[in-house]
Amino acid sequence: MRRYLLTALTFCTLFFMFVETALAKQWSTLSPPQQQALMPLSSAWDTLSEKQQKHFIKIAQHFPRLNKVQQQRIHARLEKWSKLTPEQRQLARKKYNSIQKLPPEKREALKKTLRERHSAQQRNLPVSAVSPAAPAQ
Amino acid sequence: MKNLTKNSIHHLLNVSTSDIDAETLEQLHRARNRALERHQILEHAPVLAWLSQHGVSINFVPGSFKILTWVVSFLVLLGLLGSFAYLQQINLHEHERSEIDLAILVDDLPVEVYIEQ
Repeated sequence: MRRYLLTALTFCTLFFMFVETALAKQWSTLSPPQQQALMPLSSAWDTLSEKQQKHFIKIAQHFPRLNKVQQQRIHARLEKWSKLTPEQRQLARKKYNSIQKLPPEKREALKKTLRERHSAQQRNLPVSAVSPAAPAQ
Repeated sequence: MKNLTKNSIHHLLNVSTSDIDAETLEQLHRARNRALERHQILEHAPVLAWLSQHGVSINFVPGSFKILTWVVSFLVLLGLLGSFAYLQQINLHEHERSEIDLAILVDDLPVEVYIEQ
C-alpha cells in the first residue's frame, strides 16, 4: 500500500511539474491587467519562449503598483528589453547591481554622468565633451 | 486405492506422521519454515516472483527485503525533496532576476546605458 502511495505521489508531482513548466500561454489567455502591463509585447507574445513569457508575467504582477511615470517607462522599454540577447540582459543586470552597491552620493554622480554621456551620444556629440564617468566599484 | 476418500487420506497421513523418526520430522519442519519464508518474500515482491518464474532467482536473507523497501523509499523521498529544493532555488533565482529587470525598466536611466560596454 505504501509503495503504491509513493508511486502515485511521484507521478502526481512529476505531472504537475510538467504542466507548470511545459505549457506556454497564449496572449488571449492573459488576464486584462496582465495584457495592459504587457501591451507592447502583444504582437510578439506568441513568438516568445515559455520561459520568457513567465518572466514577463512576473514583471507584469508589479505593474499596477507602479506610478504613472514608471508605467510609461515600462511600456516604452519593454519591447526593446525583450529583443535584447540574454548576454545583454545579463550585462545590464550586472551593471545595475554594481551601481546600486555604490554609496548614494557616488551613485547619483555616476548616474548623472552616464545620463549626460547617453544624451551626448543621442545628439551625436563627442563623448569627450562630457565629464568622464566615475568607475563603478 | 480407488476407494480412498479425502477423509481417509487425511487419517492415513496423520497416522503415518507418528511413524516418522525425529530427525526426518525436524528436516520437514525446517523445510516448511524455509518454504514459508520464501512464500512471504514472493508475496510482497511481485517483481521477484516474476523473475523467479522466469528462471532468475534472487535469494534474500529473511528481513533484507524490508530493509531494501526502506532504502528504496528513502531514496525516492530524497529524490523528491532534492527536486523540490532545486525547483525552489530556480524560482528564487527567477524571482530575483525579475525584480532586477523591473528595477532597470523603471529606472531613471535609459536601458541603453546599462548595455553599453
